[in-house]
Amino acid sequence: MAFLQAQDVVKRYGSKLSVDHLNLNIHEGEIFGLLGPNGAGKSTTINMICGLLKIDQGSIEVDGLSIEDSPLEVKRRIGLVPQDLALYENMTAADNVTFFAKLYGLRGKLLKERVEEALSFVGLLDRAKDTPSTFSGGMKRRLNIACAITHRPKLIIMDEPTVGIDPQSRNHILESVRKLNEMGSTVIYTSHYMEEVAAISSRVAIMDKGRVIACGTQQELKEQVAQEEKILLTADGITPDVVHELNMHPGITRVLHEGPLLEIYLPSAQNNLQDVLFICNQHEAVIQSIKCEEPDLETLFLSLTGRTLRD
Amino acid sequence: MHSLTIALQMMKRTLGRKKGWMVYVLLPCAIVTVCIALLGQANTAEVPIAYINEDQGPAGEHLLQELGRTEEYVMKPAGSVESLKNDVIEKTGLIAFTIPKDFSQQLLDGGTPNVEIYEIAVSEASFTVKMKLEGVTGRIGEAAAVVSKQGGTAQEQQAALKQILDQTAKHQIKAVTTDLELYARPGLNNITGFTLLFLMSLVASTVMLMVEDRKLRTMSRIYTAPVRTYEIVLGNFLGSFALGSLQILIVLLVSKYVLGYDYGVPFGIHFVILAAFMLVAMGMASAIAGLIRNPKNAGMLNSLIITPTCMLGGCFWPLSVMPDFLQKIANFVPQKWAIEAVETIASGGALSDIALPLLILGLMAVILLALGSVIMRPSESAVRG
Amino acid sequence: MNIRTIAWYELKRLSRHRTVLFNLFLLPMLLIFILGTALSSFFGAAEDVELKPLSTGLVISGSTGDLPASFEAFIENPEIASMLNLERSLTRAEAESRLRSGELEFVVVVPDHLDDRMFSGGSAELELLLGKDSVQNLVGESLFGSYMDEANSRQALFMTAAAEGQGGDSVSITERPAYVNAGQLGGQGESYSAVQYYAASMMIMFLLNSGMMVSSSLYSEKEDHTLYRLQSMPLSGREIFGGKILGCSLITFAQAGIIILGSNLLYGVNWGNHVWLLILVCVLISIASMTIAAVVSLMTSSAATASGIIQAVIIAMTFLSGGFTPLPVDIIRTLGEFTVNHWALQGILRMMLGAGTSEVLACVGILGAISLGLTAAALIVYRKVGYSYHA
Repeated sequence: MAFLQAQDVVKRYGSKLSVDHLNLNIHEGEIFGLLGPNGAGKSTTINMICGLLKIDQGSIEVDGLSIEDSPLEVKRRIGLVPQDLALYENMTAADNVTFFAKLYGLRGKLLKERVEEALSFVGLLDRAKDTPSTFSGGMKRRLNIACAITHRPKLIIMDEPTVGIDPQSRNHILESVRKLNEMGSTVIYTSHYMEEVAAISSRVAIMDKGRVIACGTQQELKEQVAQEEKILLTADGITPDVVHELNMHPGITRVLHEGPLLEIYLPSAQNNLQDVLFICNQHEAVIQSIKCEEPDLETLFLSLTGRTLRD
Repeated sequence: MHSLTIALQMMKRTLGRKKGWMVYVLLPCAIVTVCIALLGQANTAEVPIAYINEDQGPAGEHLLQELGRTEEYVMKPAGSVESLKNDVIEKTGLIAFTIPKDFSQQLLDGGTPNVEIYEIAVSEASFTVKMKLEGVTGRIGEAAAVVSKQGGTAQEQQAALKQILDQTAKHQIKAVTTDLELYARPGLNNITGFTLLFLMSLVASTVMLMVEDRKLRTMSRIYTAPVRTYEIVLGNFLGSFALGSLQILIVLLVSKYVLGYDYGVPFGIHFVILAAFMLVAMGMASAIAGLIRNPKNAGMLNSLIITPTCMLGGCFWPLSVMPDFLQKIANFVPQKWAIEAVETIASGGALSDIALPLLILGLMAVILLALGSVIMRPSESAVRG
Repeated sequence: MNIRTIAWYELKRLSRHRTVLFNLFLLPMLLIFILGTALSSFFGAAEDVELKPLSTGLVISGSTGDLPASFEAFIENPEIASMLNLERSLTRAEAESRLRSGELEFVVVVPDHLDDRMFSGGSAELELLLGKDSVQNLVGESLFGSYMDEANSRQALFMTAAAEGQGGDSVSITERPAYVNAGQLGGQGESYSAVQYYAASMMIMFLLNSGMMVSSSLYSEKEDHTLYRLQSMPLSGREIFGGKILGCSLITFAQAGIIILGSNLLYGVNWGNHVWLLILVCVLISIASMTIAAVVSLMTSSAATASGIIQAVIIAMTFLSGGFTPLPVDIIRTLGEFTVNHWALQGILRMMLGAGTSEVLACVGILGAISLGLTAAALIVYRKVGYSYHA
């Protein structure tokens, strides 16, 4: 039985369908990535799982318990790391973690131990007595995580945990996610950064417009777009003519142009690489670098929706 | 001009919606005008005085008569001392006194019987009543002393005393007041005081808008646009000023033309004085808001600054009854100057007579606004995020 | 259990704010001090008051133009002289015009026949012209008015007692025995002074103001997104809401305690002997304050609006109940009876006056009813609107 099971979940906001017959099965012990552009319904789904929003239709069960029937029991098993920092700026880091830990029922010696554990896990033990107002963005995000893990939840939900922070902190966080998973928690990781999701998830669901449009291990998903490959080209002097002509080429699915960078999506890079080079040469574009890439989640998304994750 | 854009934007945010009109204009103005209506009544009203006269002789009667000469005093006999005391406690502002039994006789015997005054809170009126009672009883006592020297039976003495008191009551020698009506309407300082109190609260809430901006970092965003700092500050203040002026305008209009309260002050000058005060209040509010990091506490502090400054500035009672050192402190309080300006004009002064108060208000406004504008810049912690 | 945790941490956060400490504790004490000092003159310590000397113009009316001797003696008296800045020998026209311009605050017109009439048993009038300053007018009126009253009284004595040849030496006014005293409102002879009135009414106002803390706390939790986190935890909404209100209440209780003890120790304000009832009153006021703030905060959409409305309500209630200055106007008094301030003040006043328990309970009872009503309102609003993050 799946650890988390969402069946035909619907959520409406007025006349708008925010989550549209969503189905999810998350197995115990995996890191499950939830990928999708802004507005896909990821946060709404998270909110329903945590009991923050009422489900209009369908059901969600966590560890065999229905969120609607036993909300408190479900919440006890979850640790939520919200997208917006949820910290008390004028309480010390230790107090922040302790406060939430107490509300999860921890007491006495165990409480102290777990608080220390959580802080040291995120690398903030030496700053325990400082207040978040003195922290950098990355440190605040780490504290945000610490507040959610003292009770060793079976399910940890991380909602866009790396938005707006430096690469070092980001790597730290991704590493922490792996460790938490190793220690026994199931993790749901939502993001619109494909690289992150690809880096750590065992299985991924791609959401768009309130629905899951693809779901499976990364390998399974890539096989879905085995047809699609990608050529990454950096050149000087790329004009709209170049882009246009590339788009008109029958062997090319789509071209994305950003400054000197061209992303060319096509069924087979090998067959059409020469044509690509020829077109560039004709228009006197000077190629700086060229790379053929295997299909990735971005490609998959593009093929399924015609848009990129970044849109 | 950028400042105008910013000012207009603020006006739109507050007055653009119906709710904004309710909260920033209608509701507060309604409250202020109701207060003026009530206060206006209070000051032309009489001074209610309750009493018990247990004296069987002429002294007690004379005392009541003398007190009754003052038109404003409404004398009401009470049933018992208990009910008298109870009324005093319940009806704050009620003054009461009791004349003991055998008052006349005791005076004639050379004793010092007690007329007891009861009040729960002091006021100008109770002060004057006390003084009057002291004066009259003192004189009765003197007369009684003279009579008792003459000897005679108790009855004879009482009759003699009565004779003297009756003669006194004729008031052949008296002071007569000629009222050239030069002074400001009584209670005007109270009304002005309360108007100032409310103005400060209104201004504080508009400034809170600026503070919220600062927190929401929309102000930071504006600061990164190609707009100079002074333009932003000016724009914010212009917006608050426009809103505040609207509020003053409505209050003055409604109280003058709808309630029919005659301030005795020409509309234009009255507006100028209140507007000058409003600038100072804005400066105060923004300086406080800038100093307090947490905007929520700024709101509380504001309201807790408003009352003491109003007290010190003479909003609730005249400055002249306060001890010297407090009066000196009052010079630093804008309310004092605003009230003084209004009173000067109301007692027949011209614009030139209030040059000093206006100048001082202007100076205070400039200093506080400058302070406020420097401090109102987006906070570092907000930028660091 | 959870409520206690939330309340405790709420308390912790609030007490970290320096401004909160200042707002809630220092400022009220400062205010009570100002009040006490400012009104000390009213409270009987008249020696502390230095009245501004009254700039008076003296006009003599009548044919001779000589100042009556008795009047001369009066104004030469050092005590009186120190209270006046006298301008003599003015014509009436001069005096009036200077009165209008504000150079003079008061004008006295003395008839030159004053002494003659006085001693012959006739009538005489002193004319007082009022100036621009109503307070100074009062001073002038009482000064010269009482002078004439004294003269009148003496004349009456002469006229009736002169026949007996007993002129009698008029005792100096200041040496007269004091016949008028402050009566004891207190039951068991508890002494009472009007400072207590203002101390009580100001404490009530400050306790009500503490409601603003609740408002800002409810909004902060939303804005900091911590409410979002709390709602994802195994807690009920009621525990969150209740805990926050409880935490704020505890600070309010502390404030009440400090104001009462502080004013008692520093300014000698006597709060009566009914300790438990006093505590009860403070608790009820706090409840009222918290519930008003909660209702307003739940129903408004911005912190600024909420705090503006709460402030306005509190000032209005304090005003109507005579908390700033007593207003003996019937309409105001009736409206005042609907306020929390009125019943709390009545209860505390009676305690200060040593009234019996049942009397105090009557007022406290009504206060309790109001607080109960407010609590009910708060619960209804909470049910309807709820306290949750905005999705």
